[in-house]
Amino acid sequence: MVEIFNIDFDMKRLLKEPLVHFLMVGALLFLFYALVNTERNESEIIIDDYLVNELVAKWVLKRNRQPTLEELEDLIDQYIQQEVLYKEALIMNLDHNDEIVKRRLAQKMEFISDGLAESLQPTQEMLIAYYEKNRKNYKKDPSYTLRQVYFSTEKRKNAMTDAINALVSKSPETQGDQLLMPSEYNDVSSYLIAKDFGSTFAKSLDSLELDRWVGPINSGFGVHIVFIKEKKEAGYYTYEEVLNKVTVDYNFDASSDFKVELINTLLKNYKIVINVEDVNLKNELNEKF
Amino acid sequence: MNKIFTFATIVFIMTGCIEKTEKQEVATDTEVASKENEVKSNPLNDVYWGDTHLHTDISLDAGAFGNRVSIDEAYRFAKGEEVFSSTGLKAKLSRPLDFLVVADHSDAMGIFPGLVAEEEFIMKTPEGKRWKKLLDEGKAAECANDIITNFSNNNLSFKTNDPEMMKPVWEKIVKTAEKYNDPGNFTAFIGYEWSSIIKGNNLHRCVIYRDDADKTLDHLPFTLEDSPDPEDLWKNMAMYEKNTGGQVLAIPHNGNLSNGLMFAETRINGEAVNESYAKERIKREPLYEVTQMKGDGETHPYLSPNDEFADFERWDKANLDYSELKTDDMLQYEYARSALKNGIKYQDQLGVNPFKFGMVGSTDSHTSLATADDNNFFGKAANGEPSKERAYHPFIKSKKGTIYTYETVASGYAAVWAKSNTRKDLYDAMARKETYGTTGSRIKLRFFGGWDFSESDLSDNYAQAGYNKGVPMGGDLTKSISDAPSFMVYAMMDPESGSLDRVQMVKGWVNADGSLGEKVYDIAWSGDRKMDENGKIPSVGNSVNIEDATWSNDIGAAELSKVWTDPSFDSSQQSFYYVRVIEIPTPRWTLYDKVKYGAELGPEIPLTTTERAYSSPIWYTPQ
Repeated sequence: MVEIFNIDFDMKRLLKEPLVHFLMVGALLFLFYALVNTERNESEIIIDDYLVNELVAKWVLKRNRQPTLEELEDLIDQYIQQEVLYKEALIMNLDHNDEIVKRRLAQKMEFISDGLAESLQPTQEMLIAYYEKNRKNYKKDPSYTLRQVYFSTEKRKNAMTDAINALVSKSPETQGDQLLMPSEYNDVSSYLIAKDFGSTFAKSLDSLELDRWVGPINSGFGVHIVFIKEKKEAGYYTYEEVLNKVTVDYNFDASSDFKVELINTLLKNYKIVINVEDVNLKNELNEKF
Repeated sequence: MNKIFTFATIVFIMTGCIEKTEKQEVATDTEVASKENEVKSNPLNDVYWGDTHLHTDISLDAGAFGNRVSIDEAYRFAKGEEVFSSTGLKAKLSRPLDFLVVADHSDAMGIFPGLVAEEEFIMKTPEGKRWKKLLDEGKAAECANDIITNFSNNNLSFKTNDPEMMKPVWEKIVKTAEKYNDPGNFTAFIGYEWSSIIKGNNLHRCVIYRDDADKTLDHLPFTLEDSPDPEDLWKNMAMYEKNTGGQVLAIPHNGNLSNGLMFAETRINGEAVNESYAKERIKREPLYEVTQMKGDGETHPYLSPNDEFADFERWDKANLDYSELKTDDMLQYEYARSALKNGIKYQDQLGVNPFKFGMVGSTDSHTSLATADDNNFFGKAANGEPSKERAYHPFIKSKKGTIYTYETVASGYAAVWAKSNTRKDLYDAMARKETYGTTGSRIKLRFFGGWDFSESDLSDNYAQAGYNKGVPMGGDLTKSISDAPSFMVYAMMDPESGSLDRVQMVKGWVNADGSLGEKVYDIAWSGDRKMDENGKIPSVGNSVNIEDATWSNDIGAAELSKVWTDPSFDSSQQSFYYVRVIEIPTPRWTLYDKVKYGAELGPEIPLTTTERAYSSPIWYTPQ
């Protein structure tokens, strides 16, 4: 198909450019209006099935029942009144420079842009690229295989001293107090350890030596000595592990990026003319815009 | 010209096809239903922490108070990410939550964003014009007060339940929950708050669905505009379940601001509580939000004069909008403990207990930030976010009095014992009341009741013993197998909060003459304190350093456990038992404000607090 028009560029890349989608939809809408509008007589107000169905549907949504014939006629009457006033207002150019109209139209453009951003589901390549670019958001905590012994500050006169003594004793594991918390972890992330022992304890593990009893370190519970058998250093989750989160994050960023990009592109067709008397302000604004 | 259009059309159709196939690939990868089946399940249950009651900028009053933090950011924050608060401060939880219910007010849902955007539907009303003017003049607080007062008193000229207005907002709420729901890691429940208020008296309920978007999307939230009567809410919930085969429950809150209406003896229609009312109420409302930012609702010193911990963060001056002052006779119909007592009396009279509820805590935060930690408290509303001056901002003000921001509480969270972190498992645990509430600290609490527990059951496998020999919190004991029921309690401190002062058993019962009794037993405590002749344990002391907002955990215990047998059990008496865990004193959020921001606080402002946990009860009902 592409070759018929003899157009020579990277089609695939273009297709992934969100803005291209937007411009194409815009072009289609333009075509549509051009076709429809010329065939319609300006002085007619047309009541067709489409309109009647729409009026009825809105009514049903509000009242949970069908309107009577009389009520329907009322709705149509209201519609006709609004249409007449609307058309006359357009002829009188009342829509020009009206703040509410401007805002509403700008908002409609934003709706179109939001809708498009939402409909443009990212391809896997886009997601992977996003993941690579934002890897800092997918940090993985270190994980540990460790044993801990607990010394209660409530039950002992000096838990810290007892813990230090235990470090050099023959059987450190028999020296502590009972606590219904895991005394061993097997390849568990510091995030999950923090859920049990608090973040102070989990953070302290990071700087500890491996393969011997070390400490004491503190938690909200009291004092601990720790034997870390194995530590897997902090790193990053793989793309597959966090696919869900990457998708959510991508869409969150994409909809706001898309709007910015759209406005910047459209702005290229405009020149901002600063026409204020104050010279300082004029310079400042010229620089900024 | 024509060629370009044709080209555009072709390209458009082609890209359409490509997107479709790729979209499907993504969808199968993240198929939620299949993921929920894959999630690992623990038959002995794990405890999951969450907030069942959070407002975002979608709530009319939250927006009016200045909340500009979106529902997306509310979820990201709950999941542990850093976001910016409405006043531009960096905000992050020290530990993420496991689940969240965004429960925005259903009435006038989304009106505030409409007001800011000057949407026609709101700008055409006289109120809309007035509110917009206040906002433009920078009088957001005045605007918020105007909104709440007129809404509370049913003084609005427009309908707040217009489906045309609600539909897009509800869609957004449901779809955002779907987006952040991540079975096994984080549960985003679909829900809302039904904000019934009658003459300023609070009857609010948070409504929570077990189901996904396929069932909930087309069922618009019930509103005050539809009806202020909870019985009509229950009918609506029943209709939802019938139409969709789904499940939904409601959690009432702030009986303390209902001026005697929350657990009243009469229904809204003026008739006495009867069997069908009682059945429907407990079917729809298995839980009560016992503690939150607008005051703690366990009990009151007037109702429990012998309970030295009863006077805790009480809001007992008036109703929600301060239009009617509180009187003592209202109190028994406002607090959880007295309602539990009145409930077992109904069980005797009607054969069914309308107030057989379990407990949760939640924040009711209106900042989109579910904070319940005193050292990281973002306040009840955006105008109460951290600042040197916030303590003395009036929070509720009327001609009859004022409630200041310093009276708001950094509370609470809901703890749920569930098989896994999914909508279905968490919901089922809530429905069976295997839950407890805390004032924000993550105290781990297990509680089982049976007839033959002994100290030896308190081993590493105590949970297995608990389920084998008895029932967990929220459960029922019926036929008396031994002389008296025994209860196994295990509490572990939050390693980031205060250590434990004591564990208490709260018992309530009905005497033969129909009168009601209650007693608080100290059953386990830290250190070697001795019980006095009145059965009380002396105070644990106070280690808080007022200068730098620190404390020492040495005076309390890291964990406390006990098998306790009721010493005055009467097998003919209806009764209930629940556990209260009390921490040692720690700095209240006001003290952190003083130390961090140099806030100047008068002697009327408390600087320390005692965090606590309230278990769901276990009921004994003679056969």
